[in-house]
Amino acid sequence: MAVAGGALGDASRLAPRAPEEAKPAGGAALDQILIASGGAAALTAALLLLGWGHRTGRITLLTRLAALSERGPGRGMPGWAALPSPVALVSLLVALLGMYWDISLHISHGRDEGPLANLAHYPILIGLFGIFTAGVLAVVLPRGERPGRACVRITRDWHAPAGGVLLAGAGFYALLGFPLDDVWHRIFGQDVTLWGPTHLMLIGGAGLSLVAMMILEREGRAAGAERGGAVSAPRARYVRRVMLCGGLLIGLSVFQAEYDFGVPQFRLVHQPLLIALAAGCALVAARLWCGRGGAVLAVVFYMLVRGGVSVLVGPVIGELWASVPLYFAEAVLVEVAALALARRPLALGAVAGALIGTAGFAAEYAWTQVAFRLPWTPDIAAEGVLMAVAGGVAGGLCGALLAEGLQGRLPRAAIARTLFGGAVLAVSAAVANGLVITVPDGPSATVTLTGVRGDAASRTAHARVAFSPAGTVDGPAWVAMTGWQGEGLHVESLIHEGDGVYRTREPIPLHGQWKTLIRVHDGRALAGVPVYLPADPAIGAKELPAPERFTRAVQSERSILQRELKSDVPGWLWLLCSSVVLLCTLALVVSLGWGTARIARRIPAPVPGAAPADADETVKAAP
Amino acid sequence: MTPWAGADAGALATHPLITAVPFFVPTFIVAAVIAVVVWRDRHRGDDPADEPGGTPAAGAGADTGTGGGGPGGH
Repeated sequence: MAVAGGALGDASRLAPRAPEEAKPAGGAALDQILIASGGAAALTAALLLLGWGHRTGRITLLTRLAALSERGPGRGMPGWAALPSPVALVSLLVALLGMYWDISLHISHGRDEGPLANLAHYPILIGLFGIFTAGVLAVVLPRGERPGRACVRITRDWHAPAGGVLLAGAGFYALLGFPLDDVWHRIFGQDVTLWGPTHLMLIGGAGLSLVAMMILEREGRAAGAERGGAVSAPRARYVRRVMLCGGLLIGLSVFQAEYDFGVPQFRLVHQPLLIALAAGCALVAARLWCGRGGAVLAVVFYMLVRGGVSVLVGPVIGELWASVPLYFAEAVLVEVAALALARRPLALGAVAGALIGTAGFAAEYAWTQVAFRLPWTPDIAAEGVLMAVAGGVAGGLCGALLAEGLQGRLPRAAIARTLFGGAVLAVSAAVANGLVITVPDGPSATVTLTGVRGDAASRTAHARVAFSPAGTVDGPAWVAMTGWQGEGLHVESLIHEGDGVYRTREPIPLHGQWKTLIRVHDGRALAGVPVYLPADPAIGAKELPAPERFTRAVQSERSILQRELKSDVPGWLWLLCSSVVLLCTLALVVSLGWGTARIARRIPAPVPGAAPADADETVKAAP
Repeated sequence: MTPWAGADAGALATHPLITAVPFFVPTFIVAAVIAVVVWRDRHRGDDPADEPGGTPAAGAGADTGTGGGGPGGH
């Protein structure tokens, strides 16, 4: 059981803790379990009690809250759609803040020392639990009515809106990432990277919950229109939809977070792929579902929220600054394309996607020069455009399918499934392409420290780096000095002095818990040269000091950046665990596709010319 | 941000999973409860509706929501 417990046990049995005590690397404790279990029991009881009480009519709190929510911005929708929306909105904002804060903490401080040390976990957990709760509310609330034509049956007398089920499912999937993350760490060691498979579940669940919310909005609006009564103002509807699409853009952008902070542990070409994918999907959906200007306003919402989170995490909380892709250019491109193609959604998705992948790529290229710690370079231009076009077109088609489904106008199942499946395959291929990395075998770097200052506890220096052979690096994506996990972050592109020689602009940290290395990325090559690494007894790692002059091999940077990874885990085990995560993810993605297709089928757009009493006004909204 | 300031002596190093327990355990339990409700409903078979008269939720028979008929609210 105690795979890493051995080292942990030794560390804890040593003499009393000193301020600079060893950080544990993989165990679990027993003491806190009582408190945690108590909290679990309380929340479980609360949810079950409220749910059971509501369904048997004994507790009227939910009914009253739902009635309240049907006024105000939720007007025109029944309570089972109106109440979960603000709950989910607030939850998502809280989770988003927690995520960027947590990422920043790990970059600046390294792996978790213990649950109570990382405050940022709480907003993540509360937010994800809130998403799940919002879904449960939507599922539990409808009493005495079928919640819309696309509802799913729980029991004979209990039907739930499809969007509610999916919202709860997305929250469930995201929270599932936590225990799976623990299992992953026990097997593979703690992976301090955003793109650990279990971490992706946390992010993906939250981001894709937006699709479930869109489906719920559609179900609510259609049901509200059918039953008559108060009607929501077109402006409120427009704003709500812009926020949902902006939210989807935000959710899909979280995957880029390592690039936002300047510590991507993967090739640079992934960044244009991810940006184009997010832009294609969310902005095409925005334009088609909200109407004219939807794409641009979705980016405005994105800027407010994502910018707000960056400001909170950086200047306010005092952690690191997360840069933000611009997305405005892509939005304008979508709007321009829609001038000609608004009535041909699939064509709009493809064309806008191609524009995003080319012109949009160029705009983001320029933007990274000023806004990002590791700007794009000509090295990635060719491959970057290809990746961006793949992402943009795939995303654009998915966004078009989503918007059409939400309006009850999905193309034939054969076409929709082919396009969706094709998009998933294209993105998977692009990601796989990005993951093909080479590590140069043979080159080395000679580092000469100059201007050394401070004693052992505060040592900094400038460095001159000479690669051997000099042609090792030729027009790179980056040659950077990166120092992290020393209670801060130091990332800078080195100045190219001449043939294979680089030097630093600012003093680099060589003390304490800092891990400092030279990072080299050129074409498919992604490698590093360790400069200074601290001792880490919990994982049995010794200090790697930085003498005034040393020569080290250019090597794989994974073992430098993720020292905690265990190197002796069999490959089949990694494959098995990754497959589990992949299956869970496919289940979520396919469910969302199922949900979209279901509401498109059950709540179709009215046929032009017919004038049914329950016509959904949304058809008039999109020009 | 030392976690050990004031922590009880002798406690083993704890793990982020412990913080997560109060949130994912209720999630799993609630999801499981709903799943059980669904399962029991499906296994009850197509017995004729025998609910007391006053419940407006008396849906028509054991259909699975095939949406031909209008909304359930009468």
